[in-house]
Amino acid sequence: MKALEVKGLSFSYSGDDSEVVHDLSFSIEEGEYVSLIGHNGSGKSTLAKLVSGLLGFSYRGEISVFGTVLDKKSVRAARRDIGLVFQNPDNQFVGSTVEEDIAFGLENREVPREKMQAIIDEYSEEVGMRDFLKKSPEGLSGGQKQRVAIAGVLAMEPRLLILDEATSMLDPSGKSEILSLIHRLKDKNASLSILSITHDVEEAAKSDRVIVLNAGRKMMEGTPKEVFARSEELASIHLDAPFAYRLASALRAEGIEVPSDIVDEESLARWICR
Amino acid sequence: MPITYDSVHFVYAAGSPFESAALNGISLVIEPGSFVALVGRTGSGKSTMAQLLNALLVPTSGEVVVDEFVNSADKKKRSRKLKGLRKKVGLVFQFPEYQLFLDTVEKDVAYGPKNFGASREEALEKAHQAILEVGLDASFFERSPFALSGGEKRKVAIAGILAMEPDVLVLDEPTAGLDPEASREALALFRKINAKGTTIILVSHDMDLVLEAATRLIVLENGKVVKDGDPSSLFEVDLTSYALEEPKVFRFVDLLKKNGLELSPSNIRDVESLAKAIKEAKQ
Repeated sequence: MKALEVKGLSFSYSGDDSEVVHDLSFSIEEGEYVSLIGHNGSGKSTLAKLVSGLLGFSYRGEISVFGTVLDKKSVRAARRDIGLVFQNPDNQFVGSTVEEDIAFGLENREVPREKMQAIIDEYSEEVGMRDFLKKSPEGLSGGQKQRVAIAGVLAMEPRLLILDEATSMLDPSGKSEILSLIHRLKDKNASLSILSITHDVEEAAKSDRVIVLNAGRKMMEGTPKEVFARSEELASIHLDAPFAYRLASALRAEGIEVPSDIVDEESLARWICR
Repeated sequence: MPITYDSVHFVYAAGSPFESAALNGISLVIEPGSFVALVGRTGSGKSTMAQLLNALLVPTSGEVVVDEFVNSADKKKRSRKLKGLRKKVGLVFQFPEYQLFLDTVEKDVAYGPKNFGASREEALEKAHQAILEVGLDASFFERSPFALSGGEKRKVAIAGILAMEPDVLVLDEPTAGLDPEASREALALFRKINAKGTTIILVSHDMDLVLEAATRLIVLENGKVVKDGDPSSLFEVDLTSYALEEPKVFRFVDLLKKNGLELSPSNIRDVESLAKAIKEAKQ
């Protein structure tokens, strides 16, 4: 089963001739963790909105979520399968306390009160925020707010989680809080599919598959190993490779021929010290 | 003239039940033209130090002196016209692009100089210079700041501060949210500004950036200076105890050490200098 399938997608904002997404095709299998990387302005965030039906349906091509083609009629049901987490932790905090914030989506779905408390407890526990349920957002760090946002999304039990630059406004400790949470969720629920839109290549290096977007087009697709080995092409579109790849190419520039299959820091250090 | 912090204490909401001390006796001197990084966990006092520098805050005790301006707890000593200090010390806040508000780039950038008494023509000229300096071309002058990409907006916001021709530039997390290329461009810009003699005070969590850019590093913890020295001295410090990440190149130097290769961290700042050091060690 494909969690998401995008076929020949082209889109431009109304009143603008230039296409933000151009003839794009890719898919995500159920249970897969895919990173979509690209520099600022590559069309990544537009894509996140398109696949969640937030920009309407005036595009060319086809988007299917768990086998259902998105259109005006199907979008409501399809949206139930999708959980979206955005970039700015402050813009998506809607409740006056952590508890209310997590409850917001559940209330919209008219979940009965007695069930709601159990769900809030479960997911606030899951993201490590259960001790903060009565706290207001002002006292929380960016990472904590983002974890609350994720709890609110998880409470709706999505099958496809879309993270739109969810860590890019966080400090390093907030970033690692979120990344370890994502990996914990994946370990617990193997059928959860994740599309992470990011320009953090260290994060992308830990996903199952990487898609590189440039000027609205797909430029590369493959395992992190396959994609990050092409560091010169990445540099040409303003993306860095992860640290181990960058160091390996800097060593090659110094005349030290690092074998191409060495792609993580541990094995690179061992190879240097062999 | 250097910047001097003399026994500076700062307490938020002093005398109320919410009273909390942000700075607990800071004394230090920052030489003109230096590139200083202020690091520490959230709440360690970095932003408070920065805001005292242009008198957005006034010390609870002690004083901060920038040239002829004295920002002192003692009213008798405090300079009367601290507005001039705002021109001397330019503060670029985190995500400054959220503060853009005028309908063209040039108007937005000219706002500061105009506010400090420049004529319309003068202010526009300064704005144009600043826009070019941050690496945008003349085609940006009349564009709307809101139609620009994130990286371009950040540049416009920085240009708005540069147009006031500050002697000291304080940057709060200037590369947060930028892609790697935009971050590198920003770093090159800060170096260029610094090379012209502007003092730069960089507040950041990005330890890779700090190691690459700064010539002096100040670590704050609970409103006190706990480390002050050359950035390469970071290597000896357990940064995780201050909620900071180890720079990636130092993490790798540690990894090499575990595998039996010891490198001196003193010249290692980035991936290229690390590769050189490895080559030398292997020869």
